[in-house]
Amino acid sequence: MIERARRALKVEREADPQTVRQAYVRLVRRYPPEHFPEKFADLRRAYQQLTLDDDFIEENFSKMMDDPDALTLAGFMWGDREELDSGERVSLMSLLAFLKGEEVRDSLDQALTKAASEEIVLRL
Amino acid sequence: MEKIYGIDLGTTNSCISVLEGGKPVTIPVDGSGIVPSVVSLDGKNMLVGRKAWNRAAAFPRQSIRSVKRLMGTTEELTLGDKSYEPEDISAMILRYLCDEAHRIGGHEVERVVITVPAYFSDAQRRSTMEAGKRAGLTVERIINEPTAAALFYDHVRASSGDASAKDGSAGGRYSLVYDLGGGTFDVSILQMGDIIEVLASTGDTHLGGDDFDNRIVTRILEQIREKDGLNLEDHLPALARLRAVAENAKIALSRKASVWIEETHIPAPRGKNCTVSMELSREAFEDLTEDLVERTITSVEQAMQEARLAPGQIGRVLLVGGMTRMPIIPARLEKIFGAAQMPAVDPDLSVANGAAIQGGIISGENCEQILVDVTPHTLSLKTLSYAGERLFDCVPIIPRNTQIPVTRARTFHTVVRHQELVQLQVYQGESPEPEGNTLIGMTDLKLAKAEANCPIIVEYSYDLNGIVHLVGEQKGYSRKTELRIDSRNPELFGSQDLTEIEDGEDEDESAEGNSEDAGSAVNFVTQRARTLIAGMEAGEARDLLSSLLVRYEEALRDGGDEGDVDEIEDELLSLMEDGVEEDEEDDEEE
Repeated sequence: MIERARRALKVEREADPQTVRQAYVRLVRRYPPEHFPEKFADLRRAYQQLTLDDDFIEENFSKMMDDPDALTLAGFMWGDREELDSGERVSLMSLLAFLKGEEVRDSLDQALTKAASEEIVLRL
Repeated sequence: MEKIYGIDLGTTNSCISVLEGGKPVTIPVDGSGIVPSVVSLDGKNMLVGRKAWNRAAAFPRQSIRSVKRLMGTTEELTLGDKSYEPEDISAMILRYLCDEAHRIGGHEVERVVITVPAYFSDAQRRSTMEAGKRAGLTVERIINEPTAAALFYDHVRASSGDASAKDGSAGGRYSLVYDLGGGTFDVSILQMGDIIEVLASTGDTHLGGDDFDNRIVTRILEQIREKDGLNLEDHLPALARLRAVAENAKIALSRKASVWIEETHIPAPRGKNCTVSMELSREAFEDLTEDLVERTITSVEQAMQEARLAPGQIGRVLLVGGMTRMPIIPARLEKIFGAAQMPAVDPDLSVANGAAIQGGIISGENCEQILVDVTPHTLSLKTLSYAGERLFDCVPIIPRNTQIPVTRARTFHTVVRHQELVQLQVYQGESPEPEGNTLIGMTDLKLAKAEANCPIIVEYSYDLNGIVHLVGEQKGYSRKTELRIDSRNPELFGSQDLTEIEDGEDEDESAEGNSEDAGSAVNFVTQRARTLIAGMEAGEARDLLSSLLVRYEEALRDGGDEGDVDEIEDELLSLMEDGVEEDEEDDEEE
């Protein structure tokens, strides 16, 4: 998924956030939301995925933990939570666990498991 | 090219602007361009604007003001022996603005962009679009007022050659728009630069100048009660008079430290009348309204939090709406953001001018500014969280402050085997429980026979007008339902007001817009090329540029390989530079 985002914005693997931003802004100017709504949405998603940097996570970590549905933010960070595959869930989890130590792993684990086996069902 | 006009349809005042030679110009309707949002019935004549305002204090029963506060409701308003919906009254104001603009400018006004408070709900937006339709106008777009103001400010800065307008330096990067109008309050935070992105937007659709006036009215009523023992609280003629008196006092207090409120012959019940004479100092007025100001500050703090910014990161604070003339407002914001960050903007005209700029973006007349706005409210789906206990949750599908246009889908599952249908209920609001949110639309999806736990995909789209579209699909069975939501009247859901559309058909022209017209520019490159071509004489150079432009536009629309697009764009840009240079050489020769 990240690879696809890089292709969408045409940036290199080692591109820094500023380069990513420049690439994004350049392409949005080429494809304004006004006239290219779908293309814009793709660019937007790619940009969000690529800017998932450590600073951002650090900054939002406490908020994320206070959030009863931690996945809302996780989903936001990854562009769309429906697209979080199991591998990405694990990498997000380990990233956060690495940042904040073992104690958060449990709560996050629960949230992710709940979402994975989502028993949210529609009204009859 | 047919112009698209920008209209600020305000609670107290309205305003209409249009781009002239790339610059937004306010049309001087009623003299100043600031048109009171008042209608008044004089015999058989329906007056609108300044004339209606003059009449409203004396004939409150034949006049309607602040109708914006009722948009999105089904309240009935009576004028003479006819009753009207809020949309009808707004339509009269729109019609008046457009007729006057036609009379003054000589061009018929057909296509418009209308602004609404960022925090307006879906129902209020739809109601505004409906008003435009009833006025016989094509509403090209509903845009948010603070965003419009920021667009205008960005335009002013860019055209005044302020270098910081385009840079990404920390100082100029983020702007906060504080918009306190006659009836609504909005705060938006935007990231400025080559594209303008809204990061957060919040507010209060029932907080504005009217509330400040009412505090003064209450104070005067108290005095009358103490002095004359009269209770005028429910006496409409007196209230209408006192409201005008209060508004004038409030306006005067923005310039003076104190005012005398002197009023004689205030009508009282049973043919009596009374007088009032009292002093009101600015300080006393600020005490009376302190809680209102603090409510706006709470919203400002919330927006900052949602944008994940600290006050020091805000480069500019733009004050919009007549109410920001109250000295306490800038003073209070200075405490948070510092004084240097507040450039002078016209609090009355910025919004309409910004709407005119947006009109230019849609028509292709202005491609320099690119705007990305957000959803002000979370959109969720009501779901059964635990089948056994029948608990209902609102599961967010599009969270608030998501940039638009956006389409998001989530997968849900049926509860029982051979379930016949699912009811898709769309809620708007921030609560996890349905009771705390507003139901804005509902449709049934009839299901094919399937085992329990059958996946149902629910997709929400939020278009550039901030209006909601829903698609529900039973995966693997090609059972599908679509819904365009008219949320004005939740009671009528399930009856004729519910528009269910068969697969793939969409007749909502206003929502789709006319932006795909073959003849209009789509981005800044095509716009520059078109301008250049229009100014060139027929010949080889012009043909070359034209054919390259056609190829470029095709490449953009194909959505194919970006490499090809890059190549053609480079070629086009360098050809355009050559063209410009040649022109300059010609100038020198002359």
